[in-house]
Amino acid sequence: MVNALSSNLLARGFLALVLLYLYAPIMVIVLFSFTTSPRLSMPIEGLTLAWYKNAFANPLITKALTNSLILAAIAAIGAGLMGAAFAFGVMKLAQPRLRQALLAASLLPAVVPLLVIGISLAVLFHGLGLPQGLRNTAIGHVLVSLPFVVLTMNARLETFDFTTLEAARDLGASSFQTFRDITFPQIRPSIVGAALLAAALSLDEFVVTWFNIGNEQSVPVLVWGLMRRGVDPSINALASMLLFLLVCLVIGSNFIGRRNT
Amino acid sequence: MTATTGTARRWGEAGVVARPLLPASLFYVVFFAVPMLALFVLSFWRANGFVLIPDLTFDNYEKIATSSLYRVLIIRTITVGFITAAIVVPLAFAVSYVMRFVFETRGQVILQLILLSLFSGYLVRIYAWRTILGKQGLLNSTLQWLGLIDRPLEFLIYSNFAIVITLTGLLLPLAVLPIYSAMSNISRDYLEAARDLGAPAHTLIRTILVPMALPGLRTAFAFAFLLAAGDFVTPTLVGGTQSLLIGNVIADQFRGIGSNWPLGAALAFVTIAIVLALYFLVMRLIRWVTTW
Amino acid sequence: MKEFLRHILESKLNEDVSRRCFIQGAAGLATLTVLGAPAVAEEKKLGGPLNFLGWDGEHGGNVAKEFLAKNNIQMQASFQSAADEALTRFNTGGRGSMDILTPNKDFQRAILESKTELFQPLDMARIPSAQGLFPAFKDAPWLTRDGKTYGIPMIWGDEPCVYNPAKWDAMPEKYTDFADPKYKGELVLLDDPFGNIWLFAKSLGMKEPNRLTAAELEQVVEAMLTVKPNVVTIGASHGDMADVMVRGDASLGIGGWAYQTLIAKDKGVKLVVGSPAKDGTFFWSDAYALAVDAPNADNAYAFIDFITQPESNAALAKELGSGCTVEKAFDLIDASVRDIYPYDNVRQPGGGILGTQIVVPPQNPEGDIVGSAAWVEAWQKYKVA
Repeated sequence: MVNALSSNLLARGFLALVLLYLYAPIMVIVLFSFTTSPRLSMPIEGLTLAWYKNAFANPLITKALTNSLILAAIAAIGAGLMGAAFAFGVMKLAQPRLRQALLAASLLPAVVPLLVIGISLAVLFHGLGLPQGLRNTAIGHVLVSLPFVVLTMNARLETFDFTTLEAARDLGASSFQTFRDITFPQIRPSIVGAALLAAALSLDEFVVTWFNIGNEQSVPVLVWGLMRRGVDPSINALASMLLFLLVCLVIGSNFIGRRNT
Repeated sequence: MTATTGTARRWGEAGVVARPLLPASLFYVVFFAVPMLALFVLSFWRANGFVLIPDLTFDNYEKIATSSLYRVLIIRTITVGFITAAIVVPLAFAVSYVMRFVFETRGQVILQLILLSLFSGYLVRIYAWRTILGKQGLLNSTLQWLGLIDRPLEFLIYSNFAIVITLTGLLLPLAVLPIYSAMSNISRDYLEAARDLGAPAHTLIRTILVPMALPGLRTAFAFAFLLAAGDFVTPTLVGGTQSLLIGNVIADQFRGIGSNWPLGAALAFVTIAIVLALYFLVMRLIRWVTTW
Repeated sequence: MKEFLRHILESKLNEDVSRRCFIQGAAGLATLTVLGAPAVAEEKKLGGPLNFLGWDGEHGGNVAKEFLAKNNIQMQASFQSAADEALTRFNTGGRGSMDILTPNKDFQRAILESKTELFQPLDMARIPSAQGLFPAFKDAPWLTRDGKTYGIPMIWGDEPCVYNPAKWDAMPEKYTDFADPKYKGELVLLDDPFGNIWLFAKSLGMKEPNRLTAAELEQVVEAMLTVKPNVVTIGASHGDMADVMVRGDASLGIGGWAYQTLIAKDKGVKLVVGSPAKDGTFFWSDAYALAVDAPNADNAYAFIDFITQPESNAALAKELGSGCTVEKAFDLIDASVRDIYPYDNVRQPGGGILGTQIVVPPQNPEGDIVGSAAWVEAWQKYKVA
């Protein structure tokens, strides 16, 4: 009993350490978005909201923030839906060889250097006569996040118990009904997770973005461009706002999800 | 029932099965396969200054095969990918295990907490790591204040150590997601039954947990390996002077003065082929080890 | 909904502008052939978007704020992270949506010499302020081809060493001296193949540091490698280099920018500039240029003319800690920023040292002399080693 308790404590301590590691840079970002020290290093002299005021006063920053959120939403929904459907379709294929081949093919965009994807997409859009901008960038984001959604969903579905579906079908449920009532509730957390993943990849993507966004801005493209003159804590304010918005979004979706069930 | 209607029905069923595959497949063909094919053709062209000349030459591939620069870079890139994956995957496995079997239902909340750490902007987070790991950074000044060291540790930043720390922070959440997803079907009773029968922990892990979470582990490996091998921003910003990876060199071939698009395309395809071959080799190896 | 309407209205207005532009162009051509002299540009109605791709700060975000607002011009700025990214974007679908670019002198020279399509010749009648440029910047060889002008310089300067005076009293005589172990863990470089190789070629006493044979290039890389053990990291940009020094992770930047001292000052760190006495350093200048097929040429001309006025030019030079390009702006700048740069060079025609000194190698090999691809590869080899 004592043994179980101590190993339990050990496990919790381990998880706390991992979370500390993941959140250490984030704490630094949020902390320095509120301090007067422009160097992003210790010691902290005073607190201020000036960086947030700066960020809001800079039209480029607000524009970049809006665009990034739009792109992340499109990537999450587009890649989330298409990728989940694809992973589901692949699982239902009878021939294992075909299954493997399709999965491998869906992985390819993750292997190709982003720069190559960015340039080749830009050339394609140019050929199609589609001017650069958010639309082209959104397509790029969906493309680069699709493999990760497919892989995540595949990992979930490979351990999914498909016999329950057959049982439901035998009891006369239509395939839509079985999907809605049995499959979807079970894989919902994974779909949400995969969509979040797509959003996260989209928010950080800047190589494909750079070549396709034309005269628009996104957060990483702006940050990379501002680096020539050195970043100041307004960037931390920007990152903190982004994080805050997404935390709200996730909490909100949890709340709605709980009410529905 | 006649043969024709039977065939028709089978085709109809195939259509139903294929339907979910359609949107993504179409998307891949139009926005990925077509441009890649064009780029593949380009890799056999020549460049003269800023002008591209259509050709069918293997010069670009020959240059890559004979240059020690590219060989060194590809090996280094793959090493970074493997080392990162070797750290990230076991760590993510342990984290997922704790989430699934210690925290049980609250594991979902922790998963979201872990995934949320991704949403702070990677470039900004890299800068934050500079604040933590720098010569006068938080870690060094804390250690000095505690009297544990008297001179700042210099290997913390602009080093391979910094690359691994930063990349692991990025990739751990991505690796936890599939492993945790795969573990969510392993029942706790199953583990407890085995434990009651006297199976030691490592046997449990080897015979039950790993095989059952295998699809998730494979995916996590793919995430960590592919993303670490493809990233060139992290090495540029925290990696010090020996941090050039193949991605940087491919980028150079597509940018401005001194660029060579055909060579860049060829370099990209060689890298893709090697990375894919290694990936499948590892997958084969894993399957072989686990079925054995 | 309002946004949408405005968008429609704006695109209508643009359509109008481009049509008017065409008619005027045709009319101008007609007068030209009849009178043999260019027609004086009329007052244009401005407004609508203006696309900028160039360095952060050179879009005049602060300097031109009022001008843009007054004329109802919406500046859409995007920033590059390497000098030559404009060409890549132009060739991958950016053509027709790019207006103002900010090439540096050696990139512009390479583009003009190789007859690569990117910049269009400027109608100088529409930039009357350009009359006020220092003599060097009016007819400089890197800005002109076949008697046409392709760029209006807005700032200039050199790439000195930037260092922390708390650690170093002075710079050594030569760049090769940085191999001294006392610099261990103190140096930061800029990720720029041409600048670095050029400086070390100069340090090794090569006559034309931008025209090297394969053997000379190898010799340069070897010399650079003796310095490498002392290098902490290679900054992705000048701002990144400054960040490394401000944090105290390195104390001496090679191939820096005087502006870095301003970044550091803002953050409470003192940095100063100084170059190795014997080797010196090279000079650069950035210019405004107009992309081929620029959709908002009217706005672009008005912007360039505004920012070339003495007050704007002085403000920009001050903000970026660089040299001004307009003669009358000189008197408007603080001595502290002004005295960093040898203005004698730009008071004479031809560009002085800026005109004769070429930092980039030839685009293609010329006999024994290697081309730019070899330099890029040499720099990659240096970084891998």
